[in-house]
Amino acid sequence: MMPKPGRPAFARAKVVLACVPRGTGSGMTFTSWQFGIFAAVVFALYYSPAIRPFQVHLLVLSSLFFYGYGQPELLPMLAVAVLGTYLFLVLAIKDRTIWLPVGIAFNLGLLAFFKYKFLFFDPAAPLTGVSLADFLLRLPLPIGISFFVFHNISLLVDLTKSDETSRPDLTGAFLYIIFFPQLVSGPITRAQMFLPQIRQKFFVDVPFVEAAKWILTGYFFKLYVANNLNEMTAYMEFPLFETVRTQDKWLLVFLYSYQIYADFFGYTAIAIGLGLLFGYRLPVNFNLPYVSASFSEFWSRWHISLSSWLRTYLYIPLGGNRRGTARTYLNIMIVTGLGGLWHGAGLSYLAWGTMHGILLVLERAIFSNIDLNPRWESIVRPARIGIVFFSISMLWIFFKLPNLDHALAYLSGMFTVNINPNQAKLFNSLALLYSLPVIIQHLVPRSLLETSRRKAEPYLYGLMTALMCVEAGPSPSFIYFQF
Amino acid sequence: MKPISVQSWFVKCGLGLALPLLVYAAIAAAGPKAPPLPTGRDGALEVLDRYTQGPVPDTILVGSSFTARLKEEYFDDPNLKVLGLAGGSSITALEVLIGRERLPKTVLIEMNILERGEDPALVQRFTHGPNAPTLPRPIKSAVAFYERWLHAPPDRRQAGDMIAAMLGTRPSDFDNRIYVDRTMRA
Repeated sequence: MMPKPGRPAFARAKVVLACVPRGTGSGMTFTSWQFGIFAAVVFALYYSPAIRPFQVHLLVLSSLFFYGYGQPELLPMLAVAVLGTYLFLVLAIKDRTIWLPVGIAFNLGLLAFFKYKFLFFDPAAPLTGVSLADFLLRLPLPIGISFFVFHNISLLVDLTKSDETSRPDLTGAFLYIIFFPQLVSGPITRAQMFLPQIRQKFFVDVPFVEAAKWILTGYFFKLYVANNLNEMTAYMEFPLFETVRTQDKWLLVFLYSYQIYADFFGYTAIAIGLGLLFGYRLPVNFNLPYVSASFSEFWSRWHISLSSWLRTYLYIPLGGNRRGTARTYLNIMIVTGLGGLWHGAGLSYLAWGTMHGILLVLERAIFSNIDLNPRWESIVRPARIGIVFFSISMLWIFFKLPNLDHALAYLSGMFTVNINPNQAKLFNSLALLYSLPVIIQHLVPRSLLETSRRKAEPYLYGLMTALMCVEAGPSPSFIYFQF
Repeated sequence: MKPISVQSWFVKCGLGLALPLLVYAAIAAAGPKAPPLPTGRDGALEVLDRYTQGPVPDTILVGSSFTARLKEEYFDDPNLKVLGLAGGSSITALEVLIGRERLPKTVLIEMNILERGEDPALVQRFTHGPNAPTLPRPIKSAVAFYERWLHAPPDRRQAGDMIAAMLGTRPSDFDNRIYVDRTMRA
C-alpha cells in the first residue's frame, strides 16, 4: 500500500509506528514464572549424564522453545535467518569476495524488511490481496531481530577471514545465533569469542557463586530499580507529561536515565549469569557508564558489545580515523546515525543517534588538542562527568518518546512553567530510594566496595533478593526487547 | 583472605534473604496499614483494593487523579466513595464496577480524559469476586507514612475551610480546549 498523496512516508510513520505489532506480547521474559521453570528444567537436563553428548542440541531446542513460546509463527523466520546465514557461510568460505557481501545483504535485508516495513505499510489496512504477501507484511516485528542479525553478520565476517578457519557445524552455528540467554537482547557476542567455547560441559565446573551474583544483581536492578522507576517515568509519556510540574520534568529525565540503565544492565547481568550456568562466558556489556568523563568514554562503557560491533564491522571498514579528519567525522556520524536507526524505525531514534554523533565529533574536535595540566584533573573530571551525564540524560528523552513531536514538546515543557491546575504528584523521597542502587554502584569507589563487602557479600545479596521480593514494581517488558 | 566455599556462600545468602523476610512478615501482619500513596499504578492498586474490600456505597465518583483530588471528607454524604485512579481513567474504574456483584446507586463519571483506555490487568485483578489484599511494600509504605506525617489530611472542619477558600477564589483561566479536542477526536 502506497503512502497517501501529500504525506511523506516518514511523517506517516510516526502515526503507524504507534500500532506496529511487536512480538513481545506473549513471549517468555526473564521475569516470568514460566521462564523460571523453563531454565530449571533445561539446567537439570543439561548436566544429566544421558544428555551430556547432546548438550548443544538440547540448548538449540530449548532456545527454539524459548523464542517460539507464545509466538510460534516467528520460528520459521528465525529458521530462514539461521539456515540462510549458514548456507552463505559455507559458500563464503569457498569464495569470500562474492558470497560474503551477499550473506550480509541477506541479513540486512531481513532486518530492513521486518524493522522498517511499517514506515511504508500500515499493518491495520487491507494490503495487496495476495495472501502470502499479506501474511509477510503483517508478520510482527520479531523480538531480538536486531541482535541475532548482528550475530549472523559476525559469524559470516569472522569465520571467512582466514583460510585456516574451520567451518562450525550447523548445530554450533545455530547455538551461537540463538543461545537463549542472549537471543533477544544480547549481549552481542563475537563469533570468535563464542564458538571456541562450544564443547562438553560438566556440572563441577559451573561457577555457581559468580553466576548467582550476576543473576541476583540483574533481577534486583530490573525488579527493584527499573520497574519501580518505570511507575514514575510513565509520567513522561504523552499526554501525561503535560500534567507534570516543570521541576518534575527535569527529575523524570534523570530518573529515566537510571531506569534505562537498570533495565538493560539488569537484563544483561541475568544473561551473563545464565550463560555461566550453562558453561558459556558472555561479554560484559556495561562498565559504570554514568561516570564517563567524555562521550567516547561513555560508548566504551555503555552497551559495550554494540559499540564494539559497530566499531569492528562498520566504523573500521568505513575507514575509521585513517582517512583524514573530515572523513573521520563523517564516519562517526554515519555509525551513530545508523546506530540510532538500529534501535527503531523513527525520526526520534535517528535524532538520538545523530546528536550523539555531533557530541562525539565536537568532543574530538575541541578536546583532542587540549593538553590539561594533571593538577586540575581532580576538579575537571567530576565537572566533565556531570556534563556528560546531563547531556546523555537529555538525549534519553528521544528514546523515551519515539514520536519526535512528543519529544520536542517534552523538551520545551522543561523550560516553561506548567500552569495546568491538575498536576501530577511525584515523591522525591521515593525517587531517591529507588535510584539509590544505581547511584551507589556508580559513585562509591569500587575499591571501598570490594574490601568492605567481602565478608558481608553473601548477606548483602540475600538482602537484595529479599528487597526485590517485597518491593518489586509492576513488571513491564525489558526496554531493549523492542529493539 | 581465605576463599569462601560455595555452600557457605549460599547458606549465608539464604540467611540474608530469610531474616529480612521474616521481619517483614511480622511487621506486615501486626503493623498499621500504610496510607495510599497516589503515584502511578500503585496508587490505583491501593484505591481499588480499598473499594473492593469495603461495602458498596450509594454514590461513587470514578475518574483519574483529578477525581482522586476530590477527597471523600469534602462531602457531607458519608456513603460516598471516590474511585480516582492516578494515571488511569474512568473507563478502568467503570469496568471494575461492572465486574463486581453490586453497583452503587449513583455513578458520577469524570469525562475529561476518556481517551485513556482501560487497564486490562487492573480490571482482571479487581473483577470476578473477592481478591487477595495487596501486600504492603516496605519502601513505599515508609514513604507513605512519611508523606502522611508531612502532609496530614484535613479533618472535616479544615476541609470545610479549604472548600470555602476555594469557592472564594477566581476560577482558573487555564485553557483546556486542547484536552476537549483530543477527547472529541478519540
